[in-house]
Amino acid sequence: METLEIHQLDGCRGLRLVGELDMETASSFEGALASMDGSGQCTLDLSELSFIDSSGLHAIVRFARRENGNGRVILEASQWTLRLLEIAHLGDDPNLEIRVAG
Amino acid sequence: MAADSVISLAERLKQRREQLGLSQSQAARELDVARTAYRLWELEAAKPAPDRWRLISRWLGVSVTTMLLAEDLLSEEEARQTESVEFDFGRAGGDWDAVAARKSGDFFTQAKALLEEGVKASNITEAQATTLQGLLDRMAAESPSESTSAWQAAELRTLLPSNTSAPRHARAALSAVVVALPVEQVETARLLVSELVTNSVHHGPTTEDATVGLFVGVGRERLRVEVSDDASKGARPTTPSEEGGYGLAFVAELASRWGAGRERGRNVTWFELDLPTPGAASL
Repeated sequence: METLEIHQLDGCRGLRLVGELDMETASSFEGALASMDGSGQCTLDLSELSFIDSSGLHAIVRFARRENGNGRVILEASQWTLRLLEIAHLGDDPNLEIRVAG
Repeated sequence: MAADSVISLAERLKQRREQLGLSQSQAARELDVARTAYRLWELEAAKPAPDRWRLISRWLGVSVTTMLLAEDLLSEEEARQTESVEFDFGRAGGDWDAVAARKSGDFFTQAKALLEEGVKASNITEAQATTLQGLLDRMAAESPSESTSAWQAAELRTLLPSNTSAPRHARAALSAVVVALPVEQVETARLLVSELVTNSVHHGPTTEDATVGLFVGVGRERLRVEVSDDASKGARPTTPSEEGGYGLAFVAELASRWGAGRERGRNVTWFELDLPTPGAASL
Protein backbone atom coordinates (compact mmCIF):
# COMPACT_ATOMS: atom_id res chain seq x y z
CA MET A 1 0.00 0.00 0.00
CA GLU A 2 1.59 3.22 -1.20
CA THR A 3 1.19 6.02 1.29
CA LEU A 4 2.71 8.83 -0.77
CA GLU A 5 0.92 11.14 -3.20
CA ILE A 6 3.07 12.99 -5.72
CA HIS A 7 1.67 16.10 -7.45
CA GLN A 8 3.25 18.25 -10.17
CA LEU A 9 3.47 21.86 -9.04
CA ASP A 10 1.36 24.36 -10.98
CA GLY A 11 3.31 27.09 -12.72
CA CYS A 12 6.81 26.01 -11.84
CA ARG A 13 9.07 23.00 -12.12
CA GLY A 14 8.69 20.80 -9.10
CA LEU A 15 6.73 18.33 -7.02
CA ARG A 16 4.43 18.54 -4.01
CA LEU A 17 4.48 15.49 -1.74
CA VAL A 18 1.67 14.40 0.58
CA GLY A 19 1.89 11.42 2.92
CA GLU A 20 4.89 9.35 3.99
CA LEU A 21 8.28 9.32 2.30
CA ASP A 22 10.30 6.28 3.42
CA MET A 23 11.99 3.14 2.12
CA GLU A 24 8.73 1.92 0.58
CA THR A 25 7.75 5.11 -1.25
CA ALA A 26 11.20 6.51 -2.11
CA SER A 27 11.37 4.59 -5.41
CA SER A 28 8.17 6.14 -6.82
CA PHE A 29 9.43 9.55 -5.66
CA GLU A 30 12.72 8.95 -7.48
CA GLY A 31 10.79 7.82 -10.54
CA ALA A 32 8.81 11.09 -10.50
CA LEU A 33 12.02 13.10 -10.11
CA ALA A 34 13.65 11.29 -13.03
CA SER A 35 10.70 11.90 -15.35
CA MET A 36 10.33 15.59 -14.50
CA ASP A 37 10.35 17.78 -17.62
CA GLY A 38 12.27 20.98 -18.25
CA SER A 39 15.36 22.39 -16.69
CA GLY A 40 16.43 25.04 -14.24
CA GLN A 41 15.41 25.70 -10.70
CA CYS A 42 13.17 23.09 -9.13
CA THR A 43 10.97 23.13 -6.03
CA LEU A 44 10.17 20.15 -3.83
CA ASP A 45 7.35 20.93 -1.42
CA LEU A 46 7.84 18.61 1.58
CA SER A 47 5.68 20.64 3.95
CA GLU A 48 2.66 18.32 3.68
CA LEU A 49 4.58 15.13 4.41
CA SER A 50 3.41 13.44 7.58
CA PHE A 51 6.65 11.45 7.67
CA ILE A 52 10.12 11.55 6.13
CA ASP A 53 13.23 9.59 7.05
CA SER A 54 16.75 9.04 5.73
CA SER A 55 15.49 7.08 2.71
CA GLY A 56 13.68 10.25 1.57
CA LEU A 57 16.64 12.50 2.29
CA HIS A 58 18.99 10.22 0.36
CA ALA A 59 16.66 10.39 -2.68
CA ILE A 60 16.59 14.20 -2.47
CA VAL A 61 20.37 14.47 -2.12
CA ARG A 62 21.00 12.13 -5.08
CA PHE A 63 18.61 14.23 -7.17
CA ALA A 64 20.22 17.52 -6.08
CA ARG A 65 23.68 16.21 -7.02
CA ARG A 66 22.40 15.29 -10.49
CA GLU A 67 20.78 18.70 -10.87
CA ASN A 68 24.03 20.40 -9.92
CA GLY A 69 24.73 23.09 -12.55
CA ASN A 70 21.17 22.85 -13.83
CA GLY A 71 19.75 24.99 -11.06
CA ARG A 72 19.10 24.98 -7.37
CA VAL A 73 16.73 22.62 -5.66
CA ILE A 74 14.41 24.49 -3.32
CA LEU A 75 12.95 22.51 -0.42
CA GLU A 76 9.79 23.70 1.29
CA ALA A 77 10.07 22.07 4.68
CA SER A 78 8.38 21.93 8.07
CA GLN A 79 10.32 22.86 11.23
CA TRP A 80 10.77 19.17 12.00
CA THR A 81 12.12 18.38 8.51
CA LEU A 82 14.44 21.39 8.78
CA ARG A 83 15.82 19.93 11.99
CA LEU A 84 16.49 16.61 10.25
CA LEU A 85 18.20 18.36 7.33
CA GLU A 86 20.42 20.16 9.82
CA ILE A 87 21.31 16.96 11.69
CA ALA A 88 22.23 15.43 8.31
CA HIS A 89 24.43 18.51 7.62
CA LEU A 90 22.33 19.38 4.57
CA GLY A 91 21.37 22.82 5.93
CA ASP A 92 24.31 24.41 4.15
CA ASP A 93 24.47 22.12 1.11
CA PRO A 94 25.25 24.37 -1.90
CA ASN A 95 22.81 22.46 -4.09
CA LEU A 96 19.89 22.99 -1.74
CA GLU A 97 17.91 26.02 -0.61
CA ILE A 98 15.67 25.34 2.35
CA ARG A 99 12.53 27.41 3.01
CA VAL A 100 10.59 26.76 6.16
CA ALA A 101 6.87 26.69 5.57
CA GLY A 102 4.33 28.29 7.86
CA MET B 1 -10.01 -26.32 33.91
CA ALA B 2 -9.28 -27.11 30.28
CA ALA B 3 -12.18 -24.95 29.12
CA ASP B 4 -10.88 -22.12 31.31
CA SER B 5 -7.44 -22.32 29.83
CA VAL B 6 -8.26 -21.33 26.28
CA ILE B 7 -9.54 -17.88 27.22
CA SER B 8 -6.98 -15.27 26.22
CA LEU B 9 -5.54 -12.84 28.71
CA ALA B 10 -7.23 -9.94 26.91
CA GLU B 11 -10.62 -11.63 27.24
CA ARG B 12 -10.07 -12.47 30.90
CA LEU B 13 -9.10 -8.90 31.74
CA LYS B 14 -12.20 -7.51 30.05
CA GLN B 15 -14.51 -10.05 31.70
CA ARG B 16 -13.05 -9.43 35.14
CA ARG B 17 -13.17 -5.66 34.77
CA GLU B 18 -16.82 -5.73 33.67
CA GLN B 19 -17.64 -8.15 36.48
CA LEU B 20 -16.17 -5.65 38.97
CA GLY B 21 -17.93 -2.77 37.20
CA LEU B 22 -14.68 -0.87 36.64
CA SER B 23 -13.62 1.52 33.90
CA GLN B 24 -10.33 0.85 32.13
CA SER B 25 -8.74 3.68 34.14
CA GLN B 26 -9.89 2.12 37.42
CA ALA B 27 -8.65 -1.33 36.41
CA ALA B 28 -5.31 0.19 35.42
CA ARG B 29 -5.04 1.80 38.87
CA GLU B 30 -5.73 -1.49 40.59
CA LEU B 31 -3.00 -3.16 38.55
CA ASP B 32 -0.61 -0.23 39.00
CA VAL B 33 -0.07 0.48 35.32
CA ALA B 34 -0.75 3.38 32.96
CA ARG B 35 -4.25 3.47 31.48
CA THR B 36 -2.79 3.26 27.96
CA ALA B 37 -0.93 0.09 28.87
CA TYR B 38 -4.05 -1.50 30.28
CA ARG B 39 -6.11 -0.51 27.23
CA LEU B 40 -3.52 -2.15 24.95
CA TRP B 41 -3.61 -5.36 27.00
CA GLU B 42 -7.35 -5.62 26.42
CA LEU B 43 -6.86 -4.92 22.72
CA GLU B 44 -4.12 -7.57 22.55
CA ALA B 45 -1.92 -4.85 21.04
CA ALA B 46 0.59 -5.32 23.88
CA LYS B 47 1.30 -7.82 26.62
CA PRO B 48 2.15 -7.15 30.22
CA ALA B 49 5.78 -7.68 31.19
CA PRO B 50 6.26 -11.12 32.82
CA ASP B 51 6.96 -9.68 36.25
CA ARG B 52 3.41 -8.23 36.24
CA TRP B 53 1.77 -11.58 35.59
CA ARG B 54 1.52 -12.70 39.19
CA LEU B 55 -0.25 -9.52 40.23
CA ILE B 56 -2.60 -9.79 37.25
CA SER B 57 -3.31 -13.46 37.93
CA ARG B 58 -4.29 -12.61 41.48
CA TRP B 59 -6.58 -9.84 40.26
CA LEU B 60 -8.16 -12.21 37.76
CA GLY B 61 -8.45 -14.99 40.31
CA VAL B 62 -6.68 -17.49 38.06
CA SER B 63 -3.26 -19.04 38.45
CA VAL B 64 -0.20 -17.88 36.56
CA THR B 65 -0.14 -21.39 35.13
CA THR B 66 -3.56 -20.87 33.56
CA MET B 67 -2.35 -17.63 32.00
CA LEU B 68 0.81 -19.26 30.64
CA LEU B 69 -1.23 -22.10 29.20
CA ALA B 70 -3.58 -19.67 27.44
CA GLU B 71 -0.61 -17.83 25.98
CA ASP B 72 0.85 -21.13 24.67
CA LEU B 73 3.86 -20.92 26.96
CA LEU B 74 3.20 -24.18 28.80
CA SER B 75 1.99 -27.55 27.60
CA GLU B 76 -1.12 -28.97 29.28
CA GLU B 77 0.99 -31.63 31.01
CA GLU B 78 3.38 -29.02 32.43
CA ALA B 79 0.45 -26.87 33.45
CA ARG B 80 -1.17 -29.75 35.35
CA GLN B 81 2.04 -30.51 37.29
CA THR B 82 2.76 -26.91 38.10
CA GLU B 83 -0.81 -26.21 39.12
CA SER B 84 -0.78 -28.92 41.80
CA VAL B 85 2.55 -27.80 43.23
CA GLU B 86 1.47 -24.20 43.29
CA PHE B 87 -1.62 -25.24 45.22
CA ASP B 88 0.44 -27.18 47.81
CA PHE B 89 2.79 -24.26 48.12
CA GLY B 90 -0.02 -21.84 48.84
CA ARG B 91 -1.66 -24.17 51.37
CA ALA B 92 1.65 -24.59 53.22
CA GLY B 93 1.68 -20.88 53.94
CA GLY B 94 3.98 -19.70 51.18
CA ASP B 95 3.09 -16.17 50.31
CA TRP B 96 3.89 -15.82 46.65
CA ASP B 97 1.20 -13.24 46.14
CA ALA B 98 2.76 -10.88 48.63
CA VAL B 99 6.00 -11.06 46.68
CA ALA B 100 4.28 -10.30 43.43
CA ALA B 101 2.34 -7.41 44.90
CA ARG B 102 5.49 -5.55 45.83
CA LYS B 103 5.88 -2.71 43.45
CA SER B 104 9.61 -2.72 42.90
CA GLY B 105 12.40 -5.24 42.79
CA ASP B 106 13.01 -8.14 40.49
CA PHE B 107 10.14 -10.58 40.71
CA PHE B 108 12.25 -13.55 39.61
CA THR B 109 14.95 -12.99 42.22
CA GLN B 110 12.34 -12.59 44.95
CA ALA B 111 10.44 -15.67 43.90
CA LYS B 112 13.59 -17.80 43.80
CA ALA B 113 14.49 -16.71 47.32
CA LEU B 114 10.99 -17.61 48.46
CA LEU B 115 11.26 -21.08 46.94
CA GLU B 116 14.54 -21.68 48.78
CA GLU B 117 12.90 -20.61 52.04
CA GLY B 118 10.00 -22.94 51.30
CA VAL B 119 12.35 -25.90 50.88
CA LYS B 120 14.31 -25.02 54.04
CA ALA B 121 11.12 -24.80 56.08
CA SER B 122 9.97 -28.11 54.52
CA ASN B 123 6.81 -26.48 53.24
CA ILE B 124 7.53 -27.89 49.83
CA THR B 125 9.82 -30.62 48.55
CA GLU B 126 12.88 -29.99 46.42
CA ALA B 127 11.13 -31.67 43.51
CA GLN B 128 8.20 -29.29 43.86
CA ALA B 129 10.57 -26.34 44.08
CA THR B 130 12.19 -27.52 40.87
CA THR B 131 8.81 -27.66 39.15
CA LEU B 132 7.95 -24.15 40.28
CA GLN B 133 11.40 -23.00 39.23
CA GLY B 134 10.60 -24.34 35.78
CA LEU B 135 7.49 -22.17 35.70
CA LEU B 136 9.51 -19.12 36.70
CA ASP B 137 12.03 -19.87 33.98
CA ARG B 138 9.22 -19.91 31.43
CA MET B 139 8.14 -16.49 32.57
CA ALA B 140 11.69 -15.17 32.60
CA ALA B 141 12.31 -16.53 29.12
CA GLU B 142 9.61 -14.19 27.86
CA SER B 143 11.90 -11.33 28.83
CA PRO B 144 14.60 -11.28 26.14
CA SER B 145 17.17 -9.60 28.33
CA GLU B 146 17.85 -7.91 31.64
CA SER B 147 17.38 -4.60 29.94
CA THR B 148 13.76 -5.19 29.00
CA SER B 149 12.52 -7.17 31.99
CA ALA B 150 11.85 -3.95 33.88
CA TRP B 151 9.17 -2.66 31.49
CA GLN B 152 6.11 -2.39 33.59
CA ALA B 153 3.63 -0.30 31.69
CA ALA B 154 3.33 -1.76 28.21
CA GLU B 155 5.30 -3.79 25.80
CA LEU B 156 4.90 -4.97 22.27
CA ARG B 157 6.80 -7.77 20.62
CA THR B 158 6.25 -8.64 16.99
CA LEU B 159 7.96 -10.00 13.87
CA LEU B 160 7.63 -8.19 10.55
CA PRO B 161 8.45 -9.59 7.11
CA SER B 162 11.80 -8.09 6.10
CA ASN B 163 10.84 -5.98 3.07
CA THR B 164 10.35 -2.34 2.15
CA SER B 165 7.00 -2.13 3.93
CA ALA B 166 8.59 -3.15 7.26
CA PRO B 167 9.41 0.45 8.33
CA ARG B 168 5.78 1.52 7.80
CA HIS B 169 4.44 -1.48 9.74
CA ALA B 170 6.92 -0.84 12.54
CA ARG B 171 5.83 2.82 12.78
CA ALA B 172 2.18 1.77 12.91
CA ALA B 173 2.88 -0.78 15.65
CA LEU B 174 4.87 1.73 17.65
CA SER B 175 2.19 4.42 17.28
CA ALA B 176 -0.34 2.14 18.94
CA VAL B 177 1.85 1.69 22.01
CA VAL B 178 3.08 5.27 22.45
CA VAL B 179 -0.29 6.93 21.94
CA ALA B 180 -0.23 8.73 25.28
CA LEU B 181 3.28 10.17 24.97
CA PRO B 182 4.05 13.81 24.11
CA VAL B 183 3.92 14.62 20.38
CA GLU B 184 7.63 15.37 20.06
CA GLN B 185 8.61 12.02 21.61
CA VAL B 186 6.18 10.20 19.34
CA GLU B 187 7.58 11.98 16.27
CA THR B 188 11.14 11.14 17.31
CA ALA B 189 10.31 7.52 18.12
CA ARG B 190 8.56 7.07 14.75
CA LEU B 191 11.61 8.40 12.94
CA LEU B 192 14.12 6.32 14.88
CA VAL B 193 12.20 3.04 14.64
CA SER B 194 11.88 3.64 10.91
CA GLU B 195 15.65 4.14 10.67
CA LEU B 196 16.53 1.01 12.63
CA VAL B 197 14.09 -1.14 10.67
CA THR B 198 15.25 0.32 7.34
CA ASN B 199 18.82 -0.51 8.37
CA SER B 200 17.84 -4.09 9.23
CA VAL B 201 16.01 -4.58 5.93
CA HIS B 202 19.02 -3.16 4.00
CA HIS B 203 21.61 -5.26 5.75
CA GLY B 204 19.71 -8.30 6.99
CA PRO B 205 19.13 -11.54 5.06
CA THR B 206 17.15 -11.23 1.84
CA THR B 207 15.43 -14.64 1.89
CA GLU B 208 11.64 -14.62 1.59
CA ASP B 209 11.08 -15.77 5.15
CA ALA B 210 13.49 -13.23 6.66
CA THR B 211 12.00 -11.24 9.52
CA VAL B 212 12.69 -8.11 11.50
CA GLY B 213 11.93 -8.38 15.20
CA LEU B 214 10.45 -5.37 16.98
CA PHE B 215 10.22 -4.76 20.70
CA VAL B 216 8.67 -1.60 22.13
CA GLY B 217 8.61 -1.06 25.89
CA VAL B 218 7.09 1.95 27.62
CA GLY B 219 8.06 2.51 31.23
CA ARG B 220 7.33 5.43 33.49
CA GLU B 221 10.57 7.18 32.60
CA ARG B 222 11.71 5.73 29.31
CA LEU B 223 10.65 4.37 25.98
CA ARG B 224 12.83 1.56 24.66
CA VAL B 225 12.78 0.14 21.15
CA GLU B 226 14.77 -2.88 19.95
CA VAL B 227 15.03 -4.02 16.36
CA SER B 228 16.61 -7.35 15.47
CA ASP B 229 17.45 -9.36 12.39
CA ASP B 230 19.14 -12.72 11.95
CA ALA B 231 21.87 -11.35 9.72
CA SER B 232 24.85 -13.62 9.23
CA LYS B 233 27.05 -10.56 8.80
CA GLY B 234 28.59 -9.18 11.95
CA ALA B 235 28.41 -5.55 12.95
CA ARG B 236 26.20 -2.95 11.34
CA PRO B 237 27.81 -0.33 9.13
CA THR B 238 28.64 2.71 11.19
CA THR B 239 30.47 5.06 8.84
CA PRO B 240 28.39 8.09 7.82
CA SER B 241 29.65 7.86 4.24
CA GLU B 242 27.63 4.72 3.63
CA GLU B 243 24.00 4.66 2.62
CA GLY B 244 22.10 4.83 5.88
CA GLY B 245 24.51 7.34 7.33
CA TYR B 246 21.80 9.97 7.82
CA GLY B 247 19.72 7.42 9.69
CA LEU B 248 22.50 6.71 12.15
CA ALA B 249 23.06 10.45 12.53
CA PHE B 250 19.40 10.85 13.55
CA VAL B 251 19.67 8.01 16.05
CA ALA B 252 22.89 9.40 17.52
CA GLU B 253 21.49 12.93 17.77
CA LEU B 254 17.92 12.30 18.91
CA ALA B 255 18.05 9.17 21.10
CA SER B 256 18.81 9.51 24.80
CA ARG B 257 20.84 6.28 24.50
CA TRP B 258 21.37 3.80 21.71
CA GLY B 259 23.49 0.82 20.87
CA ALA B 260 23.91 -2.41 18.97
CA GLY B 261 24.88 -5.95 19.84
CA ARG B 262 24.20 -9.61 19.25
CA GLU B 263 21.68 -11.60 21.23
CA ARG B 264 20.62 -15.21 20.63
CA GLY B 265 22.13 -15.22 17.14
CA ARG B 266 20.34 -12.06 16.07
CA ASN B 267 21.74 -8.58 15.53
CA VAL B 268 19.97 -6.14 17.81
CA THR B 269 19.97 -2.38 17.52
CA TRP B 270 18.16 -0.34 20.13
CA PHE B 271 17.42 3.15 21.34
CA GLU B 272 15.82 4.74 24.37
CA LEU B 273 14.05 8.06 24.82
CA ASP B 274 13.76 9.59 28.26
CA LEU B 275 10.19 10.67 28.89
CA PRO B 276 9.29 13.92 30.62
CA THR B 277 8.40 13.41 34.28
CA PRO B 278 4.69 14.10 34.84
CA GLY B 279 4.26 17.51 36.41
CA ALA B 280 7.75 18.71 35.52
CA ALA B 281 8.10 21.73 33.27
CA SER B 282 8.67 20.77 29.65
CA LEU B 283 12.14 21.35 28.28
